[in-house]
Amino acid sequence: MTTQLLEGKKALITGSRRGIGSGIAQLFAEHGADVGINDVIRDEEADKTIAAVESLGRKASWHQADVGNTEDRNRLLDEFVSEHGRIDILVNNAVASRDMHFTKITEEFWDHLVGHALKGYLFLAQGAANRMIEHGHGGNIINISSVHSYRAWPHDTVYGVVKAGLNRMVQSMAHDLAGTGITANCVAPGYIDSRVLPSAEEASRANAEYLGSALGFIPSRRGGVPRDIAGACVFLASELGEYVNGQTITVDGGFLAGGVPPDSQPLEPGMPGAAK
Amino acid sequence: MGLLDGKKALITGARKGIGRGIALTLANEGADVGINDIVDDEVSRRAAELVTNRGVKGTFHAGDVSTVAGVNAVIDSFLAEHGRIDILVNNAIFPDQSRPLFDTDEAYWDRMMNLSLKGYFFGAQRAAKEMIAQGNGGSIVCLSSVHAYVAIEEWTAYGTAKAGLRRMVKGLAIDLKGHNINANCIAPGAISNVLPDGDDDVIDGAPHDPSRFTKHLPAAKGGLPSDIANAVLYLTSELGQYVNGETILVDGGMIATKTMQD
Repeated sequence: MTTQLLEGKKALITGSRRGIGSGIAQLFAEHGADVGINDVIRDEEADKTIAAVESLGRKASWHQADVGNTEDRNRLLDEFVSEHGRIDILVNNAVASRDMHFTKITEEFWDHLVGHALKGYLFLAQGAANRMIEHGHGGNIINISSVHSYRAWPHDTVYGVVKAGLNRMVQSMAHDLAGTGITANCVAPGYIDSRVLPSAEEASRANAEYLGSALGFIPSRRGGVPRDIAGACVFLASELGEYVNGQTITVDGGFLAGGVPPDSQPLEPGMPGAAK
Repeated sequence: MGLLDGKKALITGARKGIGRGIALTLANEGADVGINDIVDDEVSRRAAELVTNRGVKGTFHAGDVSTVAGVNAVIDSFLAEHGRIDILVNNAIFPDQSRPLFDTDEAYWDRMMNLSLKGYFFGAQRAAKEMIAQGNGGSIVCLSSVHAYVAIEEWTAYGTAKAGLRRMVKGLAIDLKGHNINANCIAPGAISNVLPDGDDDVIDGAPHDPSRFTKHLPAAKGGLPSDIANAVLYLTSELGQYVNGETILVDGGMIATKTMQD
């Protein structure tokens, strides 16, 4: 085995203009995959992601589409397949949420988030699975879930419900796609610093200042970075993870293992990461 | 270039089956590997030789890892050969893994818990101590099981021990915070352990007949030692370093779809 774990694979990553999605696209390209970059807008960040993939010698196709829209979803899959010939890997990652207190949740917000991050993920997965079945060589579908699928944080009801739904969704996909060679799994990130940073400030990514008191509750004693989530996706999409199916892998530096909410206790002086 | 170049890994119960598969897989990725087993015979030596044949250092460390003294003796022997320890894979288990409830006597219970919980715990404790002293972090992986999630007739003692490991790695993650050590479990489903005939320089034996498990299992086949070994590789390499206190099921979708006994 070499470090090229995804050589020749064709992978579509939604919401990959920047952040975690961009990190997945770049690590996939490092491992030899051609990738489709999708987002609702094309901007400088999207251009940077595409350039980064191309600089690794891999093909990057651009697909502007809103995964909350039925026509956009169908066009996205058709475009990707016409560019790459087939689809081997789908990573459902696109999401834009915000905090909303339970008593203030609006129907509009519910419909928006569920429509994008649950319905949109399901029908993209369905469309990808049908194309994979037609092609006859299996494939891998990965939903980006969250630690919010397991526990509640303030004002995260809709987001948490959507993410919990994704964990359950892949179990049914594993069932109904039995024997097709397609695996369906989730990756549940913890605290990931996915900010767009000037390259000069890259060293500050996921550092103690950014994480504040949360750092004290992360056994790995650092914040996560997009590459951590991308590593789990490479595992699941490569031969390394081919017998993993219907699973959600938590990638949180051990944060949930202790079960202590980040804002319930201050960081004790002397703990790694605490202010001197 | 491998994913584990220069790492030093100790695998318990690695004379054959899944443990041997883990040893050879980590060796393929550039790790020096110590094979431990309670059985000291030609097969054990051959496993270490197969590691060496991959261009890395392979050693054999006979010992019973169900006592603290035994665990320490094995790790001492490993350190004498390799100088440090970066990866510990707790994998050892005896063949007699299931037993009817009323035939489960105190001696069997103690044997199960001493190997699968006590031995794994004190192995992890000692390895973590070494890793902290070395200052470069490390990885601890324990082999759990689908039996940690669901009950099958006659597997109560084994399942109890394997469920304990899922909780144990969370405790290791919390207590080792700040030392760059990740501790996780792999929970295998139905894995083929058939030893290869003839050419023994392979990781997987012949897979079981898929119908032996279920026609509904999503993967439509039994797992292989390489499936488990590859998950260990993920957790011990850079790819999985932010996974901590977690248990990864490698079961072809068995638990997700509850198709264990169809």
